[in-house]
Amino acid sequence: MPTGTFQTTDIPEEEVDNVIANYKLDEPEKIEKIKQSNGRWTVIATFPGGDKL
Amino acid sequence: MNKLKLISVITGLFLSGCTAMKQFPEKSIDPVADLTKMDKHYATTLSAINAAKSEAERQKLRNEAIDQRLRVIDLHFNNFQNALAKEGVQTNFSVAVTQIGLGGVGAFVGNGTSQILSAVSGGLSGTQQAYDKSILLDKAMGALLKQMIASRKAILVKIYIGSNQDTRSYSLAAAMNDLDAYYYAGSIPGAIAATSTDATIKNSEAEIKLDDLRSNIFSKDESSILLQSYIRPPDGDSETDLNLENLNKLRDWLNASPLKGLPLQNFFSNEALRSHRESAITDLNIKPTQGE
Repeated sequence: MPTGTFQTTDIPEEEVDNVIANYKLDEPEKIEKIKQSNGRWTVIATFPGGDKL
Repeated sequence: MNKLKLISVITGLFLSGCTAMKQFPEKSIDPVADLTKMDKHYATTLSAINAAKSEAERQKLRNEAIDQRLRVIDLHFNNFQNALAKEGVQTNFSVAVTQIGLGGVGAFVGNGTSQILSAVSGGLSGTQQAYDKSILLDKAMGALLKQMIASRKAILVKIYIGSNQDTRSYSLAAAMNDLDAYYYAGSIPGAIAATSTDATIKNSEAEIKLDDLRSNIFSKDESSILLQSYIRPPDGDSETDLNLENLNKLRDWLNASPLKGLPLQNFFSNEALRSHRESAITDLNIKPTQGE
């Protein structure tokens, strides 16, 4: 089980749902989706315990 | 090909000043004539596609050409694999042991204790050397073969996906390019190149630090597509139902690897982890599923 924070950056719009669904497989306590200035997305998944970014 | 043969081939190339010394490939001034001469199958298929009256017919012609080339590449690869196994180091090891044995028998002729002892010890050390070299070469060739199989599978996914697209999205030229990559992946230089693309991570697997993998730029290649299709068949889309058995197998593989603790999403999307994904594909025996 992952711990702490992980993220994927520069995600194209059409891939965001897949990325979020993949993170959910590991049961994070929180998922955030942030739009970047270039129109792409960053998704941040936070898991219990461990190190943060 | 054993080491001595390889060295003499490379030496021969340099001494003869042939293709290996040229800086550029040939340039064509008559592409139509050259194409017919160099790749008649491609030229014929392209003409037929251009003359086709419907997109369905164009796709059929393109996919027939892909299937023909795939089969031929696979047949040649199977022969190549068998040849590598037959000519390889196990034969060399056996020959080396036989030679040591003959030498050892000769040393018993004198009948003295010291001669017997030196024959035995000489035989053991010689056998040990032969064993070490042969078994190490065997392991290296085994690793390269494993890489070839994994890389070929990953490229096959791309070809199968392309063969389900229209000819504007996946042209005959694009298909041939992928088929060339498929062929190259099944070669020794191709396997070495694939192994060295993330050599830093491969060579220091014991030093993989999870903290270095907490953030990556999104990427998607044939290996990530195949793994996502494995857990959500047939296409890996998030709206498709999960195959829980496959998901658990992939999780178990990841937890037994140096990447334990990495979320699946980062495993799928980190460009630098391609060879690890290809290892998972090989170890879990994941096969691409041709689209319907």
